[in-house]
Amino acid sequence: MSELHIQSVTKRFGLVPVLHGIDLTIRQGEFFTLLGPSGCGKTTLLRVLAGFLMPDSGSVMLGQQRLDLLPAHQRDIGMVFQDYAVFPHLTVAENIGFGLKARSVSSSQLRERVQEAMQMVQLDGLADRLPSALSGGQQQRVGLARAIAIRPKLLLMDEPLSNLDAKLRTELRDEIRDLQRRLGITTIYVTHDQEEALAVSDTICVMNKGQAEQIADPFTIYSAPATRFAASFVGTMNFIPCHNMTGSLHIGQDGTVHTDALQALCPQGAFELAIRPEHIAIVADSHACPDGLVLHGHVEKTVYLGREVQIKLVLNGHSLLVQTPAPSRQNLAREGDRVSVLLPFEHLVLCHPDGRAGALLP
Amino acid sequence: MMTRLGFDVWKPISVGLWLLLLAFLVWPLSSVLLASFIDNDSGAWSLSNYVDLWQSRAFHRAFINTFIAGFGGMAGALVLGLTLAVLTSYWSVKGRGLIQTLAILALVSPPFIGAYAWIVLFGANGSVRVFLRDWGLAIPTIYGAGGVILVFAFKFYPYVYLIVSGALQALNPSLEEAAESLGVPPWQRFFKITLPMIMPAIVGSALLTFVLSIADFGTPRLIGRDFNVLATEAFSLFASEIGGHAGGASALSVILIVTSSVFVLLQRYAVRSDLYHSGLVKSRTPHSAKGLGAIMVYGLAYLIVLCGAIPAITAVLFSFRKTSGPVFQQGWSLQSYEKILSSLSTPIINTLNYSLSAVCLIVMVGTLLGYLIARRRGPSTAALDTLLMVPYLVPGIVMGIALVTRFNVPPLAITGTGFIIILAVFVRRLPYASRAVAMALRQLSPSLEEAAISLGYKPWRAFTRVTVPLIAPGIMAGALMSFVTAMNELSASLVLYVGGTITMPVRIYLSVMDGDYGTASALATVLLALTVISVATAFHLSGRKQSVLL
Repeated sequence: MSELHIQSVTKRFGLVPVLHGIDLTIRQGEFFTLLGPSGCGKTTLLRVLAGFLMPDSGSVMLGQQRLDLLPAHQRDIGMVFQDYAVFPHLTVAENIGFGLKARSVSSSQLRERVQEAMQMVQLDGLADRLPSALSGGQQQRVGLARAIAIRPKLLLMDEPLSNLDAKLRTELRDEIRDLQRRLGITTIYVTHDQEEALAVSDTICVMNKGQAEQIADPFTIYSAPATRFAASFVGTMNFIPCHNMTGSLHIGQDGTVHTDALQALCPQGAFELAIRPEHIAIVADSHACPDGLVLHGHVEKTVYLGREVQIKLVLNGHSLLVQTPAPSRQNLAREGDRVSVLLPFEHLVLCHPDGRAGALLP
Repeated sequence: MMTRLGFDVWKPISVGLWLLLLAFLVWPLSSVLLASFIDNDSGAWSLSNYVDLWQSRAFHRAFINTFIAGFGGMAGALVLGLTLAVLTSYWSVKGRGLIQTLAILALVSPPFIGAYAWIVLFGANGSVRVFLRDWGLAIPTIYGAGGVILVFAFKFYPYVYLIVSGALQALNPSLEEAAESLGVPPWQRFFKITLPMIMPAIVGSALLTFVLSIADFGTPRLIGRDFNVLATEAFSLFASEIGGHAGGASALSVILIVTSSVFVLLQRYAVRSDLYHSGLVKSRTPHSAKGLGAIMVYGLAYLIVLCGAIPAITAVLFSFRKTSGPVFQQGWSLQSYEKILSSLSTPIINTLNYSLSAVCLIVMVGTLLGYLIARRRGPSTAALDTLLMVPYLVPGIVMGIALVTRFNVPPLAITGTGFIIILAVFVRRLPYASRAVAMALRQLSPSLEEAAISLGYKPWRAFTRVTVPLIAPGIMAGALMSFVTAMNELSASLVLYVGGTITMPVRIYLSVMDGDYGTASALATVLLALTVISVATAFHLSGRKQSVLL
């Protein structure tokens, strides 16, 4: 049983720093996702692990072994690529057996392990096809089977689903997750798709500008973002600029003074309150609530999505997105309607000017 | 970007390639540059060679003639090539395959065969001229500036045709339909929409034909008579300076390089980006011409390609004519072939030998170079890529002079051997091969090789097991095209050959100079047959991509 330790890894391309001292610990058998926008350094970090890039400083330890000192071809790492990287001149079976050939596996064992890998990714019967005769999803299955056939110590996946269409993406996503559980391979998965990350991961590392913003399980990442960036990147989030000066709390652009209960929870100076659209409730005008913030505004736009309705509100000069289960036809909010909304304290996230974030309630 | 741990086999390879290019490209060319600044008599540094040229009337004439030939050839090729491209793109002309084949035939048949064939038909005793004279129609001989321009036009128009019709095919016809729906009439539409968008292709191909025209040696030499250009002048000066110091020829070579560089750089600038290349291309549906229009379209298209193919057809026909000495007689025979088999097999064997050796070298070195350029970006490979521009700028005759002056003394006294001819072909053709490989590699995802490495293959084995098999068809197609140019290379070989290392193009050139047209025809036919077979194979291997031919 060995953990993967990434210790203060830095990397720059020319003068541009891409990774600023990344520290991560990944448990044996964990499904670990690097999530972030393009250019955040997630792929660079993955390529450092694979051995295609050399870190400028820091180390990568797998158990007791210094991984970063080994050449790429000796690392025993399976890699799945965004563009599949299936060898077009080899058949499905030859592709899957390619890594085993380099490992002097006996030919009978090779056939057995290729067969086994093909079954795992549901490619049985396609052994003699050439990749050009396969769909994108099937090609990525070949890529996956080829990577796991060598029984790697570590499985790296670089946006493996981003070239597939939406339906196939969810399908293969779930399969990858199941397969990883079954085999127990420590897996590092790179994606910019937050929904994908939430769906498959044991642990997510949200990355931005070469730094790890937050490392936590999917539930924590979504419900308790640790930084403003994590809050904005994962899911949809409303940010309300606030200002707390001695005696008065201003919410939004207009000066509106509010309850003592909220003021007591807020820090001094400028900050933001953040809340997810689905946590905002539309309430009666006269509604008063001791553990929530009630705001008044009017409907600018509604978008009917069948299962739910998205309502864009304007209050105090800034907008707020609300998401509610679709009501009956009569109760649909109309543009220009005046409404009141309740923002429960328990769902409010406090974002400090320095980028840190945390739950409003202690 | 790919820093790898451990021993990187590409580093020593890169060093080796640098040494190779420095030794066989930079070093020989430096001799030309240096010699041009050394006075022939005193051996001191001086500008006397340039001053002499400046004061020489012959040089002035050659300089002006070079531009006449260049612009004339360019204009002719543009008129023919553009006409054919527009005709075949907008109208459905039956036998499009035949038109393409004939255009390609004109493209690959060596220019000196063209010159020679036109002489056979329109020279002092040319068949067509004699025939017309019998009917009381006197036409001037082909010799002189007009003849040179005519040969260039029919020789180089396929470049314009292939490049411009490629651009027309890449053009989204929706743009023209959009203009039509906005109420722009057809003629205006062509000039306001289509023409501006294919302009880079037109300008690029025009400049290419200019560069090819001014670098050509065989045509002005054979057909120009007194029409001397820089390339022929350099050769004459070089021949007169043999044994002594080649100062004059060197200075002329430098001027020729500079002239051609200006236009090559202009050409690169013109085609720097395919600005209007649209990703969404639906194919154009050509109109079918009817009545008088059809006669015009068909007549013009076939007239152009048939005239372009005249040299090849003439060479083949005349090779089977009965001869008596150098004079053609009535009737047919295999005499000419018997003659080349019995007494002229050396040039054929030499040509095959040298071309094959050169191509082997080109494939090996070109593949490594292409890989470095496409996959190992860095200051060193960028410089290497720039250095590979040089052979494009140096006309064959100049390369020949450079190699002779540098390699006639130890440590590498290979002048007069076959090696130096192989070397000339190798250096001149290397950039084409490495560029073709780099292009093939750019279409191949780098992650393929990374996948192999992550599966346990060393970088070098990943390259040979995955990358090489995938680019092999491209390499083979490039190799065959190199083989074609190697076989047809005249200007450098003419400077480099000695009796025992004579090649087919040189032999043909000498036969034409001697008026021995029967032998020339038979040899030209053999050369043409080998060329056509190689080109057809390359075309097939590349998946019928026309870009392989350019």
